[in-house]
Amino acid sequence: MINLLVQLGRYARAYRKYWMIPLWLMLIMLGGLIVLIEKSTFAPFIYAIF
Amino acid sequence: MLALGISAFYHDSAAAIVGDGEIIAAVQEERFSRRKADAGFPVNSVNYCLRAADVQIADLDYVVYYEKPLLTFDRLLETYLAFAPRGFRSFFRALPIWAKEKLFLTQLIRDRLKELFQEDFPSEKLVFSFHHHSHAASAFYPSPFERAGILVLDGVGEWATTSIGRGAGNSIELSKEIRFPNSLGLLYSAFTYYLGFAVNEGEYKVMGLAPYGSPTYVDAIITNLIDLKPDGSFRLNLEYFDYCTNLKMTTTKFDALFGGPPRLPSEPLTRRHMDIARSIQSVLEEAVLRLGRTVYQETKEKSLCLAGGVALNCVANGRLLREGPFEEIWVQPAAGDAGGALGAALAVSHGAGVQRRHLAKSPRDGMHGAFLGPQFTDAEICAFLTRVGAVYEVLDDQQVIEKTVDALTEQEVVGWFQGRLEYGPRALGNRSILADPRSPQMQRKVNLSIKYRESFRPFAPAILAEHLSQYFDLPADSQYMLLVGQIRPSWHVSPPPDETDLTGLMKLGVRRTEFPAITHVDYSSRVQTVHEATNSRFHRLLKAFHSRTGCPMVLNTSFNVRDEPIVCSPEDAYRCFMGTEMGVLVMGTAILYKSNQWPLSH
Repeated sequence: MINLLVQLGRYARAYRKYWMIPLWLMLIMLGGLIVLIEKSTFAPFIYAIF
Repeated sequence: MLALGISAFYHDSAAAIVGDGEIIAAVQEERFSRRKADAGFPVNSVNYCLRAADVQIADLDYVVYYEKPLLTFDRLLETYLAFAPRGFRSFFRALPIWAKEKLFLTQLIRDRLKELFQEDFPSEKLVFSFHHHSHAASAFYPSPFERAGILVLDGVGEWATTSIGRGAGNSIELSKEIRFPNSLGLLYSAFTYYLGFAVNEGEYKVMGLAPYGSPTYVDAIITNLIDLKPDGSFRLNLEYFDYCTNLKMTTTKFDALFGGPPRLPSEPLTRRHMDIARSIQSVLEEAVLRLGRTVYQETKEKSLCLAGGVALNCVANGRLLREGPFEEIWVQPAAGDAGGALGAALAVSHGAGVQRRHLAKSPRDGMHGAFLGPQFTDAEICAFLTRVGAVYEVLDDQQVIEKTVDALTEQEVVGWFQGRLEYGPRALGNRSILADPRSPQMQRKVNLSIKYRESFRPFAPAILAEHLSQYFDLPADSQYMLLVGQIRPSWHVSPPPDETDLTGLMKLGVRRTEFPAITHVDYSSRVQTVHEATNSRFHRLLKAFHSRTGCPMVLNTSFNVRDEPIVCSPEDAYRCFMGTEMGVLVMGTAILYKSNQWPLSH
């Protein structure tokens, strides 16, 4: 994950897309949540939250 | 300098290994896994490449992935943002796979390599190439040209969908690009979808269907769908396309323009479908011709290298060669994404200063005839045949040729399995089904009894290179079956058939030339020239067929049945042989006759 964040930082600098950093972070967290939902062991916990 | 190229995770996974700029091996994963256009990590292909090069994972200087995943992710995000809130559902369907895999490709590839070879692969040796740079490298570096213009055309990689540039010596410079969502590849794929064929697989069916129709929808396409400029640049009208926000290609507005909803695969093909296919093919050809002229104006090079999935459109390539400004054209035989694996490995090798040594050799083309995949010895083939209880004979080399010619002249369909497997979508005489092109029934027989595929689809001839100009109006060799030419009028039947009342598929059974099995309804043929230097046994077979019959060509189609990958191993070939009405199978120096075999269940 740290490696990915470093890569995203480098990418944002190279292409001057700093404005996308918050969006990326939000989406990665959201994506991670969706992945967790897919795993049955976590599902009851996620369902309880919602 | 050893570089392993990988393409994976979208479609058509492949691996290729390049040693000091020399292509050692390249193969698509589908050939091993037997899943058409397999998108998984190419475990078997990587394994094979290392075995073929006789190296260990630790010996590799680089592993190169064929595109830059962060750029692709950026393109997805910006596209969804631009269209939000439309596309919400498809976005949330795509997100988990990115969150789980595609954003972590560095780790994912290293993990897969570790699973395979039980050792860590250093992350600093894992590099990423731009998608279109991989395509451009696959087209230019193995080409026979010291310098050339480059044209890359595909659906989409990261952002670029069309790139033009120049290759000279060891360097490639892509100077201009057209970006997603404007894409000739996606335009053609939208019509592929609309006509009821699978996107990324059925595009060549649209190309094969086109000659049955008339270009009656060209104006509708040019007026509504694509703003095509004189220099070949273009912009698509996104009101007609749904690929930015949805999991389908076209909108209801598109359906209204072309007179109905998309054709279902089970529905019959009508005149309207054929006219639509012909129209989009004409528009594509016009765009490719204009882009070709622009590459020439920008570079002033006399040669052109082509890659990207659209470069598999051999009808457009043939027109570009005949009508365009270039003296020579070279198309990467694995022009689609599978070829990206090879291009990525070549890009890194040549970027590090490795010279293009094949230019000093003969043939100057560095692809080794595209015969870059696994091969099997006669001993391995015989061991397999004995194990499964097949009835076979082992002959000497000359007898193999003579017996195969006997079978072809007796109107048998022959499975021909020799040497190394081809890289790319075409079978070029090592994993081929062969037949007599002079037979009026052969096109139908091979389509319906052997390949189990649509009856309208044409077959290609493999012709001795030295006889090309005698039979086809094609100004250059076509070693990789990627150029379409017209059969010369001297081979047309006389008087010409009366086709005034024939439309659509009614044209199918009409005999137009002395070679009806390989003549399309517009007298065109997707030609493969066979050269002694790159495929000596196949060349000898054609020579023997020529001296026996006076005909220097055979019908050549890929050794597979509909919707299956081309066969790889003797087992695949034997299964295909036994499961179809193929009469004869030749594997290495072993020959099998169907009439002598027990049923497969035995």
